[in-house]
Amino acid sequence: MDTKILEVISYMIDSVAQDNWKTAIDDLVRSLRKIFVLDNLVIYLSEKKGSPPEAIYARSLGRGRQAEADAAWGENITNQVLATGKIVQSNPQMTTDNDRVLSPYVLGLPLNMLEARGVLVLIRFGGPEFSPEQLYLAKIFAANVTHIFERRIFRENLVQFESVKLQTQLQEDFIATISHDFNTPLGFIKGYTTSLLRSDITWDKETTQEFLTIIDEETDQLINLIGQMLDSARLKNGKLPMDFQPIRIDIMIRDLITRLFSRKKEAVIDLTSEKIPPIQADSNRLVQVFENLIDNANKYAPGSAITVSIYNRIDHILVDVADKGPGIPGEHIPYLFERFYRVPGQSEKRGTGLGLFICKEIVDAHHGNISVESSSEQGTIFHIKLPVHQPTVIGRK
Amino acid sequence: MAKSILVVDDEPRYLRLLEANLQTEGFEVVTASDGEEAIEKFTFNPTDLIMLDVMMPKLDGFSTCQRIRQFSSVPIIMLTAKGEEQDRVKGLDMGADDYLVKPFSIGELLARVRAVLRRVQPMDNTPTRVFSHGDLRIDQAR
Repeated sequence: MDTKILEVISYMIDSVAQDNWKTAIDDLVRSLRKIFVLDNLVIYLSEKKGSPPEAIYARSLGRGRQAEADAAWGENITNQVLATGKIVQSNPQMTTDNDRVLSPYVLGLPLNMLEARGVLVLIRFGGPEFSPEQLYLAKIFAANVTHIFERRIFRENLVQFESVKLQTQLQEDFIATISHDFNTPLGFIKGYTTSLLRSDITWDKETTQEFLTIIDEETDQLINLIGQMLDSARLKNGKLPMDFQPIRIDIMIRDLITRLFSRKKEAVIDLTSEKIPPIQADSNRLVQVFENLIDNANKYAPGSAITVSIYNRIDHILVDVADKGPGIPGEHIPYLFERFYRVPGQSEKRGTGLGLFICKEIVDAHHGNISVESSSEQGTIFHIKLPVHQPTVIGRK
Repeated sequence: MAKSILVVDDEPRYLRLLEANLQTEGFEVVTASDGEEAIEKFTFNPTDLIMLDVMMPKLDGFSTCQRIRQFSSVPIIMLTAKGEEQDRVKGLDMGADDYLVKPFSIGELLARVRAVLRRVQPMDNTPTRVFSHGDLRIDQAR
């Protein structure tokens, strides 16, 4: 047996198990070249059923003049291979000594994968013809190429599958959360209403007022919840229209804080602001952003003072919303702005996993940026950067 | 003497709801907002009935129920937000006497409380003072 050939085959097999498919094929080709003279090598792939084959790998192994692999050489034979599913060999009709490039010997081999089809094209200009032994070798080479692509497709599918799995998991969690979130206000409304409806009891005026206030507030809670869900669905589809007007963000935030105080008297919110110009923004949407961030601080850093600071950065405004709460564990930070994501282990806190997603979408629609820093010592700080002017063409993708 | 009830829920508005309504029925109401507080309060001041929310921080309703069962046979009504069968089964397996699915109407809640207390009455050392026959009910204690 020819040890040299066996060695090459063994090297080829070793090349397959690499993360990068291109380097894997490079290695494969390097091994093949030791015993196989050829000028061009092209791999065509048709990744979806019916899609036209595309040259996704081409190399010129040139003996001399043909520097770049010319993919066009192989298209004809590729279609033949795809049509027949068999190895196709084509030799030049006439040979000329003057220009080797005019007399290509072409070999096309099918790459049969589970979900894709491909063709390996080997070209040798000016002969000699591919020998039967080389044909066997080419088949082994093609099998390894097939294997590399199968691995690539498998890996891509795996990544896609993982992402779908995560999305499904988030949606399932979301359904569990919203059923809890809807149930809580509904439970109060039902409980306090049926209390007031008791025919065996007459509640005093004060208690009646107390119960009705709770019913009213819990109804608002439900309305907010439904609004948030609708907003998040619309933002996801880019269908939430923005109404940009010149606004004074310091005044807007001051009014918001005044309103929040009337609802939560014990909250401590400090506002400091540099002198800032009006910015172009959708006031209602931005109020939503800051209300959400302050509500979050109240909820997840109970008892902590909240500081809102507004800075003038010439072409943009920076707003920091900070608390001195327990902080957010680092591993959750990258996912905070994802739809439905909630930091685990907080089932007692009411939340939908939509708030920060909505904030980010709104800030993005303003061509701004939202980010977060958090530590258990320093608490949590959200940075919101908003440009003073909106780009002249306003619109979302 | 008035019967006492320990109400355990992490939502202050549920505590207030139950307290207000149970008081109108003449019950003495003690409240706790998590499982640990409930066990502590019950240990020092045992009540005639416990109403226990399932979803709570620190110690959830199931575990609280299980812990209380280790030293007391006090009647326990679980308040659960989930109507799923497995949760009801789990609650009953943990030693609960009855369960109520949130949202509930106050009428139903009061009826369950009365029913559970009626059921355990004969277990008391004091002789039964309630005679009932069909719809007729004579309660000497009232």
